[in-house]
Amino acid sequence: MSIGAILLNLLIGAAFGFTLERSGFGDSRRLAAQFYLYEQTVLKVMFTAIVWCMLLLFWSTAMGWIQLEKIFIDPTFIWSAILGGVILGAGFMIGGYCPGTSMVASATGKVDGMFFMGGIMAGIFVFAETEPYFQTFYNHAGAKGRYTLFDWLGVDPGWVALAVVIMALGMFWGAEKLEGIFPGPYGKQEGGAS
Amino acid sequence: MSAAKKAGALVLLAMGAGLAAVGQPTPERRLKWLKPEIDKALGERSVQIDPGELMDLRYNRGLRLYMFDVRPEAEYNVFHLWGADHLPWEKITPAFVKRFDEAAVKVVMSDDEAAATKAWIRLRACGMLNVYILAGGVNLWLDIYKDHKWDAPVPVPPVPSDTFRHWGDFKLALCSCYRRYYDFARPNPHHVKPRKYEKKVKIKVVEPPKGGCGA
Repeated sequence: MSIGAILLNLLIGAAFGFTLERSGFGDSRRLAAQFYLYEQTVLKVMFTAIVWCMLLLFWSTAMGWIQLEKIFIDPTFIWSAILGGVILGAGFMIGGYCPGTSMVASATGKVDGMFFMGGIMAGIFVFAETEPYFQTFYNHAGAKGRYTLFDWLGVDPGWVALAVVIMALGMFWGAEKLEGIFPGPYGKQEGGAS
Repeated sequence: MSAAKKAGALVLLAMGAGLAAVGQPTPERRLKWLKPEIDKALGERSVQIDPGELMDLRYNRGLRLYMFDVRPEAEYNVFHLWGADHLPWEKITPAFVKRFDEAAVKVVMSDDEAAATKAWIRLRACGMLNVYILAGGVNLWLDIYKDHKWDAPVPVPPVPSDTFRHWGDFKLALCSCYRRYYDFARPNPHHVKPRKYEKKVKIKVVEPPKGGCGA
């Protein structure tokens, strides 16, 4: 990797971390509140980022600025992803962070974030040491290769993008309603960032 | 709901609806955008691989190799490289291309190079990556591995006629009682003289599966 690429990665990483911190993702109470339904900032920020990224990417391919086949898309492993999602979700609920947000919290000096990062390191060690026992499941469960929603549905990506936008807007609306219904420990919320 | 949120929602909806209306580019539209890149690759002969390189790729267990033979079916039935699939023009679609792993090496071949080049352009327009052309085609392959002209050069510029020069050698094969296995369809690397060639295939490392929530 060239020096330029390393610097660019550092810059993107720093911008990503800064955005997370400014969105309030360095606070485990705010992150955990997502699961108790009284603050939906995580859903709104992350889904907004996903929707914008999706729209800009597919507009770029539609205009011929980007060749989609040259972009690396993580291969799909359905059952491994579901199990991994459940484990990560449980860890998120218990600890109040996911890996990226725990780094953001640590960077701002939060001790719980540092403990969470220690847990991540321990988890990585245990995973690496035990991976041979579940290697087959991990590498083959529901392996679909480069598999996207539009491959699955057999429609143009534009229609999938429109459906995702409608779904996101519906969820943003529903999230704000939920924030009104579940006031949380600090009283009724005025609505988080979106 | 604030006016800013309503405006943001409208922008997202408009962009989504616009994308659905415009759609993703067809291979013909993509071909116009890719023309400079394609012309450069073909002009510099950076995608035409020597038969010797294909020979080495066939015995490289560290990669997946797909070979597409775009000659007429009759010629394919008379002789084709072991493991090569017959690929008619009408089958070259984006849906076909999606079936192949981007990291796998794909080689397209015809009698000489004309039909293979046409197919290669179409495959690239449909989104296939890591695809190459067998330089000199099946004719040169047979010159080398059947007629043992080990140092036969790759004709540059390629022969434009793109016809099967070795028809006569396979006349008996048209009768099923003479059907046999041709060792030159799958030459033993220990029994052939290695060719000197410029390596052109870029072997991609397959990324291991990764996890993460994105934040």
